[in-house]
Amino acid sequence: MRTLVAIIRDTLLALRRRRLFWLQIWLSLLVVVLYAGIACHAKGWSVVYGLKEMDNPWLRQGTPWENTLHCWTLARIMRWWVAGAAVFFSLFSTAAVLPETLEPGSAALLVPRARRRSFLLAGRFIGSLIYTLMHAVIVVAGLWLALGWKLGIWHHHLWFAIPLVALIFMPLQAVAMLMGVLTRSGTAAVLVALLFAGSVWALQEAASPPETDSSAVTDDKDEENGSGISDAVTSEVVHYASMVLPPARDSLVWLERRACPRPQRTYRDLFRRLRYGHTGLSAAAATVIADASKTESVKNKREDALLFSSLLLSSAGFSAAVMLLAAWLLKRRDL
Amino acid sequence: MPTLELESVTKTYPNGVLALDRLAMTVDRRTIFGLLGPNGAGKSTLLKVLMTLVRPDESRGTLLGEALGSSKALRRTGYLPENPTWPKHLSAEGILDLAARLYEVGSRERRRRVEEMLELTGLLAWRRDRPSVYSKGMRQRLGLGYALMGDPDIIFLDEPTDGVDPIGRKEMRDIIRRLKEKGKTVFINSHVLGELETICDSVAILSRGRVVRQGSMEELTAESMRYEMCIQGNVLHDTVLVELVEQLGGTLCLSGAETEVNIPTRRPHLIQPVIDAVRERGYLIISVAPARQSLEELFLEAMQMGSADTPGGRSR
Repeated sequence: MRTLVAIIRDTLLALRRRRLFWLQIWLSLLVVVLYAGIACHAKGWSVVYGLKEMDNPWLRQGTPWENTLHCWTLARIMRWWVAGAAVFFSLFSTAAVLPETLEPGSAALLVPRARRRSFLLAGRFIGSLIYTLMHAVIVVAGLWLALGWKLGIWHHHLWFAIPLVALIFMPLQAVAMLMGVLTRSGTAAVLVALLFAGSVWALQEAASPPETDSSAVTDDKDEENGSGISDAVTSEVVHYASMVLPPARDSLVWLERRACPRPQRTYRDLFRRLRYGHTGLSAAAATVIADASKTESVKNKREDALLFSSLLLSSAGFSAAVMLLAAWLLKRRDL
Repeated sequence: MPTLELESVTKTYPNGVLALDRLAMTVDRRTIFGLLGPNGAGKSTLLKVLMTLVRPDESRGTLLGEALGSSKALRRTGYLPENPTWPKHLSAEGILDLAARLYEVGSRERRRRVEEMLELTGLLAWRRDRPSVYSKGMRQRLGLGYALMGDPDIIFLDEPTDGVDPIGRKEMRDIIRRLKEKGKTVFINSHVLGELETICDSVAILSRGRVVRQGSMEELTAESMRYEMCIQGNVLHDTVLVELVEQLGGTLCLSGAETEVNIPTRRPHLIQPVIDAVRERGYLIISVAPARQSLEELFLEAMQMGSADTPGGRSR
C-alpha cells in the first residue's frame, strides 16, 4: 500500500511541475473572479465589478431575475469550464504521465521497485484523478463562496460537481493510459483520448431522444427498403454503443440541472428581458442559450440519487474495464 | 547457497533475435561478480530479465533463494540501469526519498537513509539540485544511491562507469569495494575489462547469449600462467638452449637486442634448468617473472571460442 501511495505522491509532484498546472489554476481563479464581478444594482446590472454597467427595468438587485442571472452564469461555468475545458486541460497534463514512466530509462528505475506493474498504472491513474479533482475543488469552492456571498444562497449541491468531474475525467484518462501502454507516446495518448471524447459525445448526441415527430420515425421503420434497414441497424449500434460508453453527456446534463441551483424564473424569460432591456446580447444567441437551458419540472431527491448512481456505475465500470485491459497489456510487454 | 543461480534463461525478442540462449551461471555471496561481453551479447537483457523489465521465454533459477522475478527477491535487490532517466521534477534528495518510499521505509528511517546515501555517494552538497545539472559521474553515483536505498543484499550495476571520467571511476570502484566489505554481493555488467580486472572476484564471459567462460579471476587466469624471461643478446642460434625451452613447450623470440623466452608453467622449479643453462653459457638474465593472461586476452580468446562454438546468426 505504501508503494502505491509513493507512486501517487510522485505523480502529483510530477504534475505540479508542469506549466499547465499553474495556467489552469490561474484560469480557474479568473473564472471565479469574473463570476464574482457580476452584480445587480438599483438601476440594472454590471460586470467586471462595475466596469461595464447596464440599465435594465427588470434585472435589478433583489428581483428574481438577479437570482436567475446568477444561476444561468453558474450553470454555464459548470458546464463549459469545470466539466468541460478544465477536464481537457487536466487531460493534457496527465495523459503523458504514464508514457513518460514507461520510457526505458524511467521504467528501469520504477518498475523493479513498484512490486507490481499494476501498482504503477493504478498510482499514475489515481494521482492524475486527484490532480484533476484538486483543480475542480478550487473552482467549485470559489463559485460556492461567491454565490453565498452575493446572494446568500449556500448551495451545497454545487459540490456534486466534483464527483461528476471525476466521472467525466476517469474514462478519458483510462483511454489515454491504455494508449500510453500500447504506444508509449504522450501525444498519441492525448490525441486518442480527445478523439474518444468527441466520438462518445457524438454518439450520445445521436442516441439522445430525437426532436422530430415520433410518427415520422415509425413510418421509416416500416419501410422495407435497404435504406430503412441500414438506418435501423445504425440506430441500434448507436444505442448499444452509447450504453457501453461512459455517460459524458448525461453527466453534463445532470450537473447543470441537478447540481446547479434552480433559478426562480426560466432562462428563456431572463433572456427575453435582457433583449428588451438593452441591446447587449444578440437575440439569436440568447434564444439558442435559452433553449439549451430549459428548466425541468422538479424531481424528487431519490430519483436524482438513482440517476447519479447509474452515471457513477457506468463511468466507473467503463474506466475499470479499460484499466484492467491496460494492466493486462502492461504486464505482458517488455520495457 | 549462491546469491544468484541461473539454470536456464532464454529470451527471444519479437524481432526474432535470440538475446539469451539457455544461459546458466552462478554468483556467490559477498563477491564482486563481473559479467563481460561485447555489445549485443545479452548482458543488459539478462539484467532486465532479472529485474522483471523483460519477460523471458524461459527462466529457471533462484535469486536470493527465491524464484526469479518474485517480489520478495526484488525487495532485497538494488539495480542501477544503464542509462537511467531521472525524474525532472525531483532533486537528488527527492529521488532518494522516492526510492525509500517505494521500498516502504518508515519516515524516520527514510530520513536517516537518505542522509546516509547522500554521504556515501558524495552528493550532500548538491542534495537540492536536480540531476540534470549533474556531471555523468555524479548521476551514476546518484544511481548507486538509488539502488542501495532498500539496503539490498545484491546490487546489479549495468555499465556503472560508462562515460565516467577516471576520477569518477575510481570513486565508483571505492564505493563498490566498500559495499563488498559490508557483505553485499555486487553484480557488474561491463565491457571495460581493465576495470573489472581490478575489482572483480569472479567473472563470466557472455557471447551470443551464452556463458562461454566462468570462474574466479584466480582460476581463469591460472590456466594461462607462464614464466617470462628476458636475456641480453640474441640466443636463437644456441641450439642447446632452444631445444631445452622447446622441450618445456616454451617459445623464444628476438625483441631488439634482447631475447624473450616464454615458458607456459605455473611451477617455478621447472624453469630452473633453463636459468642454469643460460648462466652456464655466459648469457646475462635481465629479468625472470611469472605472468598471467590478462582479462583482455582471456576475453578475446573466449570470444573466438564463442564464435567457433556457435556458428551462424542469433535469429531463431
